[in-house]
Amino acid sequence: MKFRLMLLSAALALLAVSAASALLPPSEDYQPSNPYWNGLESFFKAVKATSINPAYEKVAPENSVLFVIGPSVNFTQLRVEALKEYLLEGGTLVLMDETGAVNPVLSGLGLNVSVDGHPMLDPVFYYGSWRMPKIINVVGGDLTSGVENIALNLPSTLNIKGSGLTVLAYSSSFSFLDLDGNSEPSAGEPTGPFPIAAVANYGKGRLILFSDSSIFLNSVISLGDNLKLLHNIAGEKAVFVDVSVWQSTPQLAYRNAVLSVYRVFSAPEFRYSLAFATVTVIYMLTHKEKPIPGVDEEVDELLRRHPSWNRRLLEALKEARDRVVQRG
Amino acid sequence: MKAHKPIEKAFAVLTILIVVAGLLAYSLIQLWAPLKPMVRHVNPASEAEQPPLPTFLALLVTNVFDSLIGGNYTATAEQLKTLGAAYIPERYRFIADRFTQLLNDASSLLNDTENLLDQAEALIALGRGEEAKPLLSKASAKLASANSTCIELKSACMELAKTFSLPTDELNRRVDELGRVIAELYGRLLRLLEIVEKQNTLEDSYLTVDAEPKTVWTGGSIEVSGRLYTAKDALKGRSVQIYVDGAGLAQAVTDDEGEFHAKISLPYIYKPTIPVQARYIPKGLDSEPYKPSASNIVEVSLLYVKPAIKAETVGEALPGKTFTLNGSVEAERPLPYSAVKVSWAGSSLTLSLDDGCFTATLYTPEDIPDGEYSLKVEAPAWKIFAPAQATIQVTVQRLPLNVTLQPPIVVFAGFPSNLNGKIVYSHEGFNVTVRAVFAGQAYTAYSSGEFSVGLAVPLTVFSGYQDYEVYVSPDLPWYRSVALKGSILVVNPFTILVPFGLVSALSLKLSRGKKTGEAEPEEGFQRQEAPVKAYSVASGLEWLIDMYWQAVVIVSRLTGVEMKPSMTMREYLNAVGSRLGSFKAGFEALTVAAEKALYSPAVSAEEVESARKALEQLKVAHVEV
Repeated sequence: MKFRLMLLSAALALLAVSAASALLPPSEDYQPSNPYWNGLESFFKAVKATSINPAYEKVAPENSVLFVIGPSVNFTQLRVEALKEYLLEGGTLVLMDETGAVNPVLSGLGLNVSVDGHPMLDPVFYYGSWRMPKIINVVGGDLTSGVENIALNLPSTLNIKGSGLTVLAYSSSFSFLDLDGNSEPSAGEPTGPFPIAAVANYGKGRLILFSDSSIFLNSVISLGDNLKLLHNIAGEKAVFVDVSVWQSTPQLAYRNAVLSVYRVFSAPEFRYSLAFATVTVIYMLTHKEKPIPGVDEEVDELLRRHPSWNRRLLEALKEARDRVVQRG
Repeated sequence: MKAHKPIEKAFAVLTILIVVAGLLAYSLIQLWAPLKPMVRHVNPASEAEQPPLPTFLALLVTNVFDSLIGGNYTATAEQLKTLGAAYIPERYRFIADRFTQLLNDASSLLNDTENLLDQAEALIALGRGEEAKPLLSKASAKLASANSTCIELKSACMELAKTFSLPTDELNRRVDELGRVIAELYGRLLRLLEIVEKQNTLEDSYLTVDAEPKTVWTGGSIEVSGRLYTAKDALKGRSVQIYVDGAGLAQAVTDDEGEFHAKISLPYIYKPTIPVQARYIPKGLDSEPYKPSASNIVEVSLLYVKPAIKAETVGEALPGKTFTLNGSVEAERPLPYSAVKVSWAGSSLTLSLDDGCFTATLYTPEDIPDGEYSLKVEAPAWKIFAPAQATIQVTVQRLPLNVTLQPPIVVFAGFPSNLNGKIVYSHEGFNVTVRAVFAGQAYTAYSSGEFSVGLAVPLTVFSGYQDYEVYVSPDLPWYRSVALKGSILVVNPFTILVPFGLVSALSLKLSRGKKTGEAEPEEGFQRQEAPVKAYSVASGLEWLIDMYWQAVVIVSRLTGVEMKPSMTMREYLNAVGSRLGSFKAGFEALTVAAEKALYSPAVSAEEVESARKALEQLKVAHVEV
């Protein structure tokens, strides 16, 4: 009895935790369904973006924009080659990173540009905090049409060494690279203007590079002209976000597993099977002969007093007696 | 009430266990979480508000002042815009806004003042001091406003410096410099007013001008003559400036009669008419007695050859292909040059003229998007030949590609299927690359006519409609790529069979269970199933048990002792035996027979017979009673 109770409790607890993990929105960075400050829910809604894992799902490069936002996993050579192929075939690839994680991709593509990796702060043009610089030097072009300000959040800068890249935006001349991490401009720290966004034609496609992955977060997208910038980049194309570049937390992995199970059960075959099973069970239950009240209690009482007696025999005797009583 | 207690207890235990299990699971998940990853961004809502760095903000403010003091009002406007973009905490916003507004007003007022003074100065130079007076009056008012704005600006500056810890001295110095600029403008205004007042006391001078011929070839020369005089006398030996088309081209000195003559070589101007005017600006001693004067304006018509360029394209402008441009340059006189410049699609080339005609083969870049582009042909200016230009709009439009697609109606997961298509050519054959994306898989095929893309839907895809996208990219750049979209029904037999099979088995089992009227045995009960068979009623003797229960009913009525559920057959016999009297033996026989029917493999015929008789006796006795 106790074992059964514990098993039932564990099952119910697992169900409760699973339901909570699936129903409660995630709070991890960049998650498409994260409605909090660090999520990308607004981004996904704004451009009707789709999450993809390029390892399992392919997209047609001709009419799509692929965003790689804040990667936290290493890029394998295979993955770099896949991105290269995507660009060569006409896709638009948007790389957004402030840590330098995309540098292997950039060098793999043969581009003389890299993300510095050090935080860039601006003590004059910013949104509330020096760590959230405001870009006011936006170079004109189709991508920046109608964009006057870009809000950043703890960005870095681009080191452009070669030609072939067109800078889209520069930080102000007051901005500085915080090399010593004291959040103050110190002697010897490079000062702006720094390039923070650039574009390059690559094959039939186009690469757009930002030295900040936070431009389209829920809490930043509405600042400046970030939303307009996003719409300019997306245009009329289908927008995809590579969700395989983020390191998964156990909570997220569990949530994804639960959602995968849910997706399996929401497939037509499972849905209809469940419906059919439910109808069958309801039918069986409603048409089942009701047991004679009092039988079990009487037999149970006897068994409590005489545990060694046989339940089946007692039930048979009682049944026979009841038949006689009914006839009498 | 007693029966409910165990249920309540179980429910409580269950609830506690669920909560504990839930908490345990959550704690484990939290414990398993990796160390905090690299900080990529900060929460704007939780960031502490920071004021701008005073040193840098001061630099921004002084930049505006410097532009304003330097009289560069365009730069001042830009600097003000930049200053407006700097972060100012909301609680100090009004201080910064007031400062910016005052600076903007000062800039605007000073700019207007300078413009008015410039206009007035030009009029005064022409001896039209009276016309300049209203302008000077306006300038004076503007300057007064600028001065009061500057005074306000000083207090706003102090407020700003105090709020943002800016260097007060630096800002004060800038405001003082601005005051100096206002003072300088005021000095200039006074000087101009003085000149106007002085001009009123001077003698008017008059100037007339004429030019011959009235029509001349561009680049030719004209004779300009005129007279400078006062109401009393001719002014001799005075220098007169001659302006042609607004530019001072010559200077002439008046003779004894006040007349002047000059031969002016005209530049190559390609305008139908040009104005000729003479101006006299008294200098040195002349500035005391005479007013400046400007002559009448004489219009001189210019002659020049205006070549006409005609151009037309032959054939379509297709990316990656060439088309022909034919044209000619026509003029009244033989052309002095032998080439024209053609600009097309971001590049330009020089074309030789053959008897005024040109022809070119122009290449359209492969990557040029469809649209309308300008093709420009330019002929240079050469002496009397005016420059000529012709622009024609050329439409670049790739040829349509006719692709028919035959997608399968149904695709079974795990089984190969084909997506067929056909390219219909108009007149030339070529290869195409077909790229299809379906159910997360990408497929590529190359073809020169019909194509077939082998679809292989993995078993992980569930049944339902899946979208497909097919892109047909021709190898020839002058054909348009085609994108086709649609959806195909995917049926996954495995994912259908498994759940439906399970459900069918379940329902079958349930329906069988119902037919036999047996409830599903419980786990604990199944363990007792084997010994149950040893105690079952001997086959064919169920009626004997029935008979016993009939007897029990009769006996209970005769004796008034009911058989309790806890009683065994033997216990009941003992309980009623003393009250049955003569019927005891019969009921005993019946009890023994029933016990044997239950516990023994067989009951003898004698025992059955005596049991039946005993029941008959009991029935009779029951009836009698």
